[in-house]
Amino acid sequence: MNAFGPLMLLGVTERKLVLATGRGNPIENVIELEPDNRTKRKWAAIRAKYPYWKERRPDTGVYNCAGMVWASWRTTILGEYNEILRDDGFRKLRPAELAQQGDLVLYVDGGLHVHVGVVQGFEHGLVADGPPVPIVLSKWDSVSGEYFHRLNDHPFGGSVVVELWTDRP
Amino acid sequence: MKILDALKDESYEVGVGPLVTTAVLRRTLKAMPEVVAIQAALGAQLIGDDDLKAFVNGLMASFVGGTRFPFDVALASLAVLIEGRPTRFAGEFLSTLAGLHLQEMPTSTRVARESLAEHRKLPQTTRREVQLSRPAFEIRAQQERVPPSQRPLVKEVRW
Repeated sequence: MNAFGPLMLLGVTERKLVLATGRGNPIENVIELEPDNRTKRKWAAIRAKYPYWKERRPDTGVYNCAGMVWASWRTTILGEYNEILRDDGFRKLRPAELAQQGDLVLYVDGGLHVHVGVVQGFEHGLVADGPPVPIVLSKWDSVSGEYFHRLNDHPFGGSVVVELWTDRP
Repeated sequence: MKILDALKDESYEVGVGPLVTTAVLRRTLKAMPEVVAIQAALGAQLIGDDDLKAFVNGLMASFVGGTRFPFDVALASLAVLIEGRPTRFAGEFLSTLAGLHLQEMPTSTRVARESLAEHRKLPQTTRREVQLSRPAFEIRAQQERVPPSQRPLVKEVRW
């Protein structure tokens, strides 16, 4: 493939961290570059569709949602989250169990993990006596900013299902 | 080709949305209307591998080391587009892209790894050219009809 010829001469330019689950299984990751202007314009266009998001941090590289949650904002975690959830002792909330600050919100599409965020607080729902609605902190991808948003106010398609997980006993 | 240029548009990337986990992103790219349209054009042979090659060459002219490659999503889309094509170009494109480990192109390389796995599941059709000779008994019979002085040096063919 001639077009990639010069790139092959560059060798490996990606950087990664030594990262493992609680049981010592390696977690595939890569530290991503900062977003360029084109990427920033893309995110400005997406953000404009979600007026209720509150920005915690503007567009930034290095880490993605899973890297924010499980790698302290230091790298982009690739792949599915099943191994991390299992090895780090997470469990899905029971049907009537309420979420708490620090619990995880997993966005799942057709059995595949799409995104993970952290419950940061709660807002009143539409019904006065109804359960409080979690406010989630998310970094949508490895070049977006971080945003506080309501549980279901996300940029994914309609087939995405929300799951609440916790490391509490 | 204009139809391929749609993959370079910023509005296309906005439509793709967040660059999520690889398996889901691959599925998202596959369902993008622009990708579906290009796939139809490939199926109808309105465009072919030469157009794809020229498109990739055009994209790669924008590569600058140390900065995010602006057409990373376009390349990732191309990987998804051709994963089902049983052509030499598709195989080479996917295996080369999948083998790169560049911080400048994080999305296309990881999508290409999944697409390459899909590509390798395709039924393998190998074309071999074989020259068949006539059966030995026909050759022997022909030789026997020729006078001994005119027979070739090889008198018998053993199998």
